[in-house]
Amino acid sequence: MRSTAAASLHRVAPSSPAHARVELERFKLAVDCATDHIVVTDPKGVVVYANQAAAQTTGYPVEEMVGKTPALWGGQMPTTFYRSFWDTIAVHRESYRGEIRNKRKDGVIYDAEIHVAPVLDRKGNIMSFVGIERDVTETKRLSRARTEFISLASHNIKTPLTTLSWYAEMLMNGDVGALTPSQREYVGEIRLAAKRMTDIVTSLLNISRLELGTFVASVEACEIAGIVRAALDEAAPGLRARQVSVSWYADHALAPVMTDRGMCEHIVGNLVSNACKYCREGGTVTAKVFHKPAGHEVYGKTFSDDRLVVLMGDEGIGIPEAEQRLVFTQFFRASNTTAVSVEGSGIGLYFVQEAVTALGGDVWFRSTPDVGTEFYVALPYQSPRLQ
Amino acid sequence: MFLCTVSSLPKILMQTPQQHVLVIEDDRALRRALVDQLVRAGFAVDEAVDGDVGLEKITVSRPDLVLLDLAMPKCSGVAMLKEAQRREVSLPPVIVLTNDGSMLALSEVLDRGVTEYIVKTDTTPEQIVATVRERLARV
Repeated sequence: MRSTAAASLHRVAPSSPAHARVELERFKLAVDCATDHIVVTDPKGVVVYANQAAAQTTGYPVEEMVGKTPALWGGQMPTTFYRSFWDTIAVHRESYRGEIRNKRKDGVIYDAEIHVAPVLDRKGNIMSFVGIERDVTETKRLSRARTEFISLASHNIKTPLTTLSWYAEMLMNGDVGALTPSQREYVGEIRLAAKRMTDIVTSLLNISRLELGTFVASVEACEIAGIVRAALDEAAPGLRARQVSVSWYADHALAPVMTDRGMCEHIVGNLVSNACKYCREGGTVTAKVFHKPAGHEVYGKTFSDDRLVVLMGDEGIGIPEAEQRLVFTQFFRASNTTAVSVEGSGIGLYFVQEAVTALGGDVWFRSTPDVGTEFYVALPYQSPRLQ
Repeated sequence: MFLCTVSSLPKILMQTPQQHVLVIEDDRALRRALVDQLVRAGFAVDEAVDGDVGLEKITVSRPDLVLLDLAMPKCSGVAMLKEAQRREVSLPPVIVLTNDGSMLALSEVLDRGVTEYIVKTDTTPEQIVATVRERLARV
C-alpha cells in the first residue's frame, strides 16, 4: 500500500497545485472511509460535510445531513448542556469532549462519545467545527450489565458472609462453651477472612452504586479529622506488630464538611489500609488533615474554592513510575507488590477515585519507588454535586 | 430431665416481666443466631420467615419489639410495613435489619417512620441484643 501511494506522489511536483489536489483527495478519502462518525459544520453549526460512518450512526443519508444542523439527530439533552457546549466551542474556542445522547432517524436513542473542535484561521476566527462521534450504546450496555451483575452477586454473598462472621463471633464469645487457645486462633482466622471479604464486597457494591448512578448521598456535617483518627486507631494493633509509627497532624478547629459520612469512612479506610499495608517495617505512616483556602497551592494543585485536605503517606515500596498513570484503574496492582507479599484486590483506589469524584472532591498522589507514596484528597466543604 | 424449674431460671427473669421480641428474617442461619442470642439474653422470642407470617404474628401476639429483615423473597420488610399501614395495624418499635445500608434502600423504610436500622455485616449478634435492650428501655 505504502509503496503505491509513494509512487503516485512522485509523479507530481511536491509543491504544485496538482500535488495539493492529490493530497486533498487522499485526505478526503481517508475521512470518507473512517469508521468514526465525522461531521464538519460552518461557524453557525450548519453541516457542510458528513462521512459514511456519520450516515450509519445517525441513520440519515449524507445528503439529508448536509445543510442542516446536528440538531437533526440531537436535541435529547437538557438545554443547559447545549448552552455550556456552545459556550466551550464557540465562545471559549476550545474543544469539547464528553458524552451525549442522540436520536437516530428511526427514533432509536443512542449514547455517543463526542469530540468537537473549532477550526480557527490565523486571526483566531472560527472557520468551521469538526465533530467526531462514536456510538458507545453497546459498550455502556455491557458495562451496566457487568455492574448490575456485581451488585447482585455482592448482595447474595453478603448473607452467607454475615452467617460466617456471626457464628465465628458467637464461638469466640464462648456462647456454646469455652474454646481452647488453638480453637480460638482458628476461629479468629475465620472471623478475619470474613471481615476481609466483607470489605471487598462492600467496596464492589459501592463501586456499582457509583457506576449505576444509584448512589444517593446522605449529607451531614462530618468531622473528617475524627474519621481519619478512628481509621488509624483501628489499624493501630497491626501497625504496632510491624513497629510502624504514626505521624499525625490536624489543624485546630477545622470546620465540618457537608458530605456523606459512609462514603468518607470508606475512602479514608482504603487510604489508611493502603498506607499501613505498604509501609515498610519500622517505617512511619503520615496522616495530615488541614484547611487550604481557595487559590492556594497544595501539593501541586490549586482549587478555586476552600478545601479540606487529607494527606496519607507511607514509607514503602512506592509505585513504579511507568505504572503511575494506571493507579486509579480497576484491578491495578503495581508490579512490585508481589515481591513484598502484600494482599490486595486492586479495587480500593479505583473506588477511592470514583467516590471522591462523586463527593465533588479531588484525589491525586506522588510516589517515589523505594521511598514511599503520599495520597491527597481535597474535599469541598459544600459540594454542588451533593445538593 | 427436660423440665426447667422456676428456681433454676436466672434471677433477672423472675424480677422483670419477660419482654417479647419477634425476629422476621428469611435466612435460617441468621434467624437462628438472633433467636439464640435473644433467648440467652432473657427475652421471649418468636420467629417468622417473611413479612406475611410476621404481620400475622404481630397482630396475634403483640410483641414488644420487631427485628425486621428487608430483603426477603416472599414478602419483603418494606412490603410488610406497607401492608401494616394499609391495614392500619399499629406496630411496636421496629428495628430494620439490612445488608444494604445505602440511602436508596433505606429511604422507603424511613418514609414509613422506621428510623432505626442495623447493617448486619457491620454488627455482631451481641451488639444487636444491646440495641434491642436500649430500644426497649426507651419504650
